[in-house]
This record gives sequence, structure tokens and C-alpha cells, in this order.
Amino acid sequence: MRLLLVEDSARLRDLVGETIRAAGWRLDAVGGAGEAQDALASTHYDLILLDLGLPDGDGLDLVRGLRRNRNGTPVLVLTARGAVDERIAGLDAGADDYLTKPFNNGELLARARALLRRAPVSSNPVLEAGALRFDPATQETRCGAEVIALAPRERAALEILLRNAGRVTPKRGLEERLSGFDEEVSPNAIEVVLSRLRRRLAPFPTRTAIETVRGVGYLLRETEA
Amino acid sequence: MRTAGVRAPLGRLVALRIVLFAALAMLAQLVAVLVEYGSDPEYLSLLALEQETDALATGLVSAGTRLSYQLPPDLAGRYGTEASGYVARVRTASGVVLFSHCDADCIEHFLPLELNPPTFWLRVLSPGYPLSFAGGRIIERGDQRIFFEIAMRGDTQNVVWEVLGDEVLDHMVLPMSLTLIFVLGATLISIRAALAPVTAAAEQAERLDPLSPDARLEQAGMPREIAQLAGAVNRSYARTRELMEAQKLFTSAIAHEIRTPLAVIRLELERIDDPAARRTLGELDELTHFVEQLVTLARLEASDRSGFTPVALDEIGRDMVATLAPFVYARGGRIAFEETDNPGVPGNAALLKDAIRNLIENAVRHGGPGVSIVVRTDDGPGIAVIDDGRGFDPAAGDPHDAPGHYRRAGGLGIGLEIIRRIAALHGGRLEITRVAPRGTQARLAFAREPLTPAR
Repeated sequence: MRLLLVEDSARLRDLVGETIRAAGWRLDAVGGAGEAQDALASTHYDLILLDLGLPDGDGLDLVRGLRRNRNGTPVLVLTARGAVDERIAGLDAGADDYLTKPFNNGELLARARALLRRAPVSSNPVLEAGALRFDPATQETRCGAEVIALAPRERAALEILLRNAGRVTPKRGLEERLSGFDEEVSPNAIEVVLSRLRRRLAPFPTRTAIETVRGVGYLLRETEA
Repeated sequence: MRTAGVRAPLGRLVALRIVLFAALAMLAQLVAVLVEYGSDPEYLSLLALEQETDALATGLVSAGTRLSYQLPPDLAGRYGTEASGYVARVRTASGVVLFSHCDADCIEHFLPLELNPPTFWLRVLSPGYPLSFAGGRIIERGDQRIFFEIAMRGDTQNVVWEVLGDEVLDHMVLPMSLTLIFVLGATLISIRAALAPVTAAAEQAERLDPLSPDARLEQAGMPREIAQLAGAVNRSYARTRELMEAQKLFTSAIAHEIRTPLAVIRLELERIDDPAARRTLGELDELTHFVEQLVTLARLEASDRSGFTPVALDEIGRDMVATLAPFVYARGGRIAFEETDNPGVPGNAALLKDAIRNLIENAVRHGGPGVSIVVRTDDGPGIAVIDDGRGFDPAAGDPHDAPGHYRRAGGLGIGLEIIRRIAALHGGRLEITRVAPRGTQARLAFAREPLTPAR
């Protein structure tokens, strides 16, 4: 995995760089829109971390330029403009996610991982949260070294939750994804699947929790312990 | 709108002043007249003679060619009473006496009856005051010439004052009053005409939103002095806009410039494994929250109802619950959303989301660990954030705020103020009620009636 960080604050470049490299990814860091253009022209990146307020241009223009050239590289915007409507403007321009400064290392890595997981299925990266690992290619679920046995629907639900780790997965989205299975899926059935999934994971120290956000969806999050 | 200390309408002020000065002018004129006439008793005698003979002449009665005389009743006190000091005789040119109120003075001073009378004669009996004179004049009635003669000795009934009064009335009060009426009318009409553009400008200014970029008073068609005032108002509008722009820029710049250093500090602190660093992270969160509120405030200041679109409250609620759920669960709380049949209000979705975000963050901060939060819409229409925590008293503030510098300076207070202003912008209000046995409901209540598109 190779990431590009575009950020004009040198200190922040260093700090984010250390976090990213510690996660085992390669990172190129540049300080302006022009350097970013040059880097993008010569190298393929799996993810771009982009600050919007650059000294030589607006980061959003960079995103628009990428999308015009049918470059689908995921973009995670790091911005000081935290307002909700500005976030919408960022997503409209073609950014994939949005992180408002200041953010913490955990948040940054979770968002970056989530975006890398959305990358073309061929690359099929292993999904991780806490001590939990799920390999989409082999459909194998592990906690550390131990394999956890899951039913197909539970596996499907876990995969979706892991792809959205740290964010709420809408209930409707889960329903649609699980409706591929034979039986009719009622909202109640989702509850049943998830409570079974929770029971299966409970004996393992996964350092994750699956929360029901009633009225909205489900949240798989990493826990402290 | 009436402001304290504002005086009566300009028209009334000017009218009152004109009347006052006219009265002063009349008084001065009166004094001048009295002095002028008073220094010339002979002229006054002449005037008195004319006036008395005119008054006596009203007693002439003509029946065909025959003339008779009847003393007018108001003159009876003078010419119908013995020893009044006034005598009179009315006769024809040929010497036929029509009326006579005579004593020795007649014989002494009047012209003999056989004499064909002159048109006018006057003889002063004693100079100065009181008036004493004798005289006569011819008054023509048809083709008849009637000769009136009077004499007064001492003017006991003050004919002189009547004369003066008539003079003042005829030559001073009447013409001056006419002038006054025309001057007043012309002045009032001019003032009205001159002030019409001022009134129009005031009405225009009342409707103007000084923050809108095209807020200016139209100066064309105004008199120059009023155009100067309008120009000054326009410059002050422009200055206000500049200040507002500067403030918006300032707020946005602060938020922008502070966030990157905040990010650096946060990442640095996270690398330090020390309880002090953990505590400082908490303080940093407060500061971050405060910066976010500044940004919201800046956006609120830049917003008006012209940009309102239909907003579905269920979507706002679901979106904010989904967005904040990771934050709420990370702090040990729980959150849920309860929808109704999707009430809609016209509004600014970003601001409404800011308001709900603030309410949820408040519930987490003040609800205590393990707080359970429910966001619920209703057909009021309204959207409420309900927590089961220990609650907070918005009036008393929170004693737990004491160590948190930023919290005390701007946390809850500015947050609630922002929410209230967002509610007010949407024609609604923020209702905070305690929920038994513990917890708080904070509800944004909107008006059922559609909002006017004005600010």
C-alpha cells in the first residue's frame, strides 16, 4: 500500500507520516498542490490524504482534477474547515471521506483502512479491527491466532460491519446486503443475526464491540480493553 | 417607531415658531401704531369724526324720496342722553334738521343752519387729550347730501380707543393675519414636500437588512441636505458590512489557523504515555469544541432565511445520530433515534445539524458516564435530544465546569446561545425541561406556520 499525504504543515506531515508508516504502509508526503500533481503523475497511490487549505491552491480543485481524469484513487480529506456544509462540498467534489482537524491517530488509521478496504475487490485486503481479522478471499475469521466459526449470514454481516468499522452501518444497507440469502430478511432477522454474531464473538478477546444504534443501524468499534 | 427624546413633527415645530414670531411682530407693530397715532391727537380727532359720522349715518331711513332719521340704539348712550358730553345734528343741505341732540355746544360750535355746509370741517376745541373737537361732513345718500355734525368735549366714553381699535384691526391685524395664513400654509406644504424623501428613506431604511450587500438608500431625487444624510447612512451601512465581513473572516481564519496546530498538539500528546498527557487531551477536546462553536457562530451570522430549503427532521436526526454514535459510544454512552412520520420544516440543514450536534455533545458532557441519549422527532414539528443523565441546569451553570477553562469561558453557555439563535432564525425556540426521575429533554420547537422569507 502506498499513500500520498498533501499537507502544508511540516510538523503535521511528520506526525501523520510516523503514524502511517507505523501501520506498515509506504507514504510520500508533499507540502503543496503543485508537488502533489507531480507525485500523482509519476506514481500510483492507493490513498490520498489531502489537506484543503494549501498555500498554492485549493485541495478541492485537486480532487476535481483527479475525478475529471477518471482517477478513482480514494481521497481522505483532512481539513480545518469543519463545517457540515463544507464537508458536503468536499464529498461533492469527489472526496471519499472527511476528517476534521484535530483528529487522533486511531481515527486517522480507521478512516484510512476503511477507504483502502473499498479499493477494487481484486486486491481483497484482510479486514481488521481490534484483534479481529477477516479475510474476504478465504472468508476466514480470526481473533489473534484463533479461528472463529461463523454461519454464512454472520460472516456476511461481519464483513459489512468491518468495512465500515468505526462508523454506523445503516440498518437498511445491512438488509439489502443480506437479502441475497434464500430466506426473506425481516428487520427482526437482522437483529437475530447480529445477536448470534455477538454471542459467537463474545468468548474471544476481540477488543471490538458491535453496538446497536437503535433507529439508525449498527456500529462496530474498537474498545480499549 | 417613536424614540424617547424625539421632538414633535417638524411641521408643527415650524408652525408654532412662525405663529410665535408673528405674534411678536404684531405686538411691536401695535406699539408703533399707538405711539404714532398717539402723538397726533388732531389726526385722531379727524378719524374719530369720520367714524362717528359713519356710525350716525347708519340711522338714515329713506322711504321713496322722503328721508327720516332714527338714532341707532348703540349710539343712544352718546347722542340720546342729556349732558353726555357728545352732541350731534343731522340736517340736509337746505337746512332741514333730521335729528338733533343739542345743547349750548351746538349753537356755539356748529355751522349755522342757513349756511350751505362744506364737504368737511373740523375744529379742535382744546389740543391734546382727552379729545375735544367739533366738526362735520357731508355723506351722500342717493342724490341727497346729508350733513352730519358732532362735537365732543372731553371724550368721556373713550371714542378714541374705538378709533384706535378700528385702525389696528383694519390696517394691521387683518392684513397680517392673511399674510400669516399664506406663509404658514406655504411653509407647511414646503416642509411636507421637502420631508417626503426623508420619510420615504426612513421607511426604506426600516425594511433594509444592513448586512445585505445591496443595502443602500437611493439618493436620486433627494434634496441635497437629505442626500447628505442618506449618504452618511449608506457609508455607515458599508462600514457595518465591512466589520461583519472582517468578523466572519476573523472567526473563520481563527478556526482554520488554530485547527492545524491543534492537530499537531493532539498527535504529539497521543505519543506521550503519561496521565498528564491524557488529561491535557481532555482540555484539548474542550478547546476543539470551542473552535467548532466559533465556526458555527460565523456561519450563523452569515445566514438568513433567504437560503432556506425544505428540511426533513428525520433525516437530520438520523444523520447526526449516525455521525456522533462513534463519539458517544467511545465516551461510554449510548444513543438511539426514534422517528415519527418525517416532519419537515423550511430551514438551513447545516445549521440544524449543528444545533443537534451541540445538543448531543452537551448530553454526553453533562449526562455523565453511561448516559443513554434518544433523539426523537415529533409532529410539533420539533426534534428533541433526551438524556437520562444527571442533567444540567442552564441557569446555574455546571459546578463541574470550574477546572475546565474553555468550558467555562464558552462551552455550555455559548453552545446554548448558538442553539437558541439557530432556533430563532427558524422561527422556533429551544425548550429545556427536566425529565423525571433524572435527565433532561432539550427540544427544538418550530412554528407550524410557514416562515416569511425575510430575515
